[in-house]
Amino acid sequence: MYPDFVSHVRAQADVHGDTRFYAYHREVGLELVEEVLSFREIDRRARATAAWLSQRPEADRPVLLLYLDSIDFLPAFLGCLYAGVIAVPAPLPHDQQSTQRVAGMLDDADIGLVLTTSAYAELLTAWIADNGRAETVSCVYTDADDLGDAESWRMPDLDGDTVAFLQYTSGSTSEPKGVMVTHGNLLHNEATIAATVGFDDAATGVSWLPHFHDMGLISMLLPLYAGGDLVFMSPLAFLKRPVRWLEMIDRYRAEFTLAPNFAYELVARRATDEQLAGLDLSSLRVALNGAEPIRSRTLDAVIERLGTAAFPPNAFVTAYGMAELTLLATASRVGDPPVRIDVDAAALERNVAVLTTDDTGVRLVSSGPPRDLDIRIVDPNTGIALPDNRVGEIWVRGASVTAGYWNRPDETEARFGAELAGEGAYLRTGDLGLRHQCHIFVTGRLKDLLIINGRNLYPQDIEEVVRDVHPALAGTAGVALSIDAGQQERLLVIQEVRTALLDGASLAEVTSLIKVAVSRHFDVPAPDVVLVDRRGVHRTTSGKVQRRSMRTSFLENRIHPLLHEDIATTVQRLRGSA
Amino acid sequence: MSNTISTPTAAALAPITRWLVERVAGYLDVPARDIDPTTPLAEIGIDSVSALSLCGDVEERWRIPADATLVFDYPTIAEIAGYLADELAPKAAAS
Repeated sequence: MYPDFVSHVRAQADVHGDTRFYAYHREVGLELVEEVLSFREIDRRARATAAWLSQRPEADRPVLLLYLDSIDFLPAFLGCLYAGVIAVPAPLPHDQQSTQRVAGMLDDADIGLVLTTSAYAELLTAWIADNGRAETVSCVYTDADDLGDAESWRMPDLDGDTVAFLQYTSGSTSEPKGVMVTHGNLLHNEATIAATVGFDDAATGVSWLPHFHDMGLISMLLPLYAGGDLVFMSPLAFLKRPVRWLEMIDRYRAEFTLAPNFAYELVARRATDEQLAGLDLSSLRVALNGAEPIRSRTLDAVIERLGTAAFPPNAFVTAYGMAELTLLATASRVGDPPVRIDVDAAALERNVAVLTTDDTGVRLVSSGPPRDLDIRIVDPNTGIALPDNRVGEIWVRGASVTAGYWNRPDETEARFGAELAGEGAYLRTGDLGLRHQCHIFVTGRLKDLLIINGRNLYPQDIEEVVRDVHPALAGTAGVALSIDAGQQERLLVIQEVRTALLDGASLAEVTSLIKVAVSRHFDVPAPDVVLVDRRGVHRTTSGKVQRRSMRTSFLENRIHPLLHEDIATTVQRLRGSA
Repeated sequence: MSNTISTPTAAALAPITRWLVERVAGYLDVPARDIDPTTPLAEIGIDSVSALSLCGDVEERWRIPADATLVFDYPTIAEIAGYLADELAPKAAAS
């Protein structure tokens, strides 16, 4: 048992140096070209980078890593760890929002050095200069010759509490929050994941997840941790041709893969009969589904559709976690189908889970039992722990809980220092859920919860009903919010419309359909409705709708491109002047 | 290599346009007749995921590199068809 991740990886490279590999599939023109690094080579490149980095003046501060391809990112990332320098992975800025976000990270982490590849170094240097940071931020590319001498590398002073990297997946663009992941956290969570899914030194994993998100990064390091092989490609390569994911699993006879729910949905829909006929997915033991709400329909669709390519029906492992606890908190049992329960809808709105055989029940999918940590379900208002079958905020304690937010002591205290009646400090996840027969079921985000007439409604449920109302709304983004109109909370729906698909319907008619559908389905007063054109609803880099910022925009009368509004006077009065 | 810009003929454009319309209709799960080739794809609901898939399909079908900026540079099906017809013309002449 090593106290730090570097020692552990070096030990693995020592044992498996020439027999274990990271096989990346890089997009070159129309093809995917395989680029393979052995454990020995990964370790060597990390040492070469670290030897150079430790001599740089910027090595006393976090270093930003901006890479397109994960195979270029990995040695640079490990190079930081091998030098005892805090790594900060981030996506290459590609639009205004991501550019602002990265600029925010530069400031928040007081970054003096950006590492990237030769293809982007000039662009990034110019961008840094344009932003007035040329004096304080340097940019270096790492994909040419070795920057330093691997043999002159010396092991830095590291222990379990040393911060290894900052994970900036939380927080808004204006207020980025960098989660401090220590070596101890990383070792503990990797060990947990390896044990939970059975990823050992005979295993092969396939992934296309981005290295700058928690699920992508932690899973990318898992084979190195466990002594197994990784076969991977970029998310762009996957999205261009989703069946590539399945082809990789087949070709390399991989036992493990993972993705968010939408990707399973996508590949089930896009794979043609012809493609599936030529595939054999029977090597799979674990297809982990996590990072976003797991949909029962998706699990069924995949099992049915990919079953024709021998996708094992019990391969799904559902999971829950977040960056604040490194990655994994709960996971279902390998080999067992994920537990699903049907609960009474009205009782769930009062935060109680009552099993029902009624077909009006709500189907919940389990994320499995807690793994190597302590989970409590707590009433977010009183701070008192709740018994099973009651919905409350998920609180977590254990060695995977990270050290807090970089340079944000108040937020760290509020989030990581929640006291539970004399039992010590817990991390407040901000997620709502319940425990039922040892399994954790996640129901939604606390901050997004709508309380209408004393009933708890989940916005994603309302948003789904709205999308089904007319083809011009299907597949677009929308948000369901509540507005405090003095006497009561009123429901508000802001929905994007594909005007080209209205097919003769007027916006007033679509508005009417929404009001009727929502009020009937949820037995609530008809909501206020705002219809917007494409991109009118704000989204995060991972595609999640931003309910709170939409709420602010609505109240400040800054919704655009606005198509149509139907707002009660009591709510209209609350809005700023346009 | 000639410097004149050849305007793709209607005969060259029609099958390409039809193929693109069918792909896009498939992503959106609507009948092909509902897709207007002159409406910007972003307006009919093609998001970044579908745009990338379209690039992948173009690459696979026509063996022409199509990266994420394709939909940005050629916002409508008609314009993508024009671009593809231009790209394919010299190959047709050579083969």
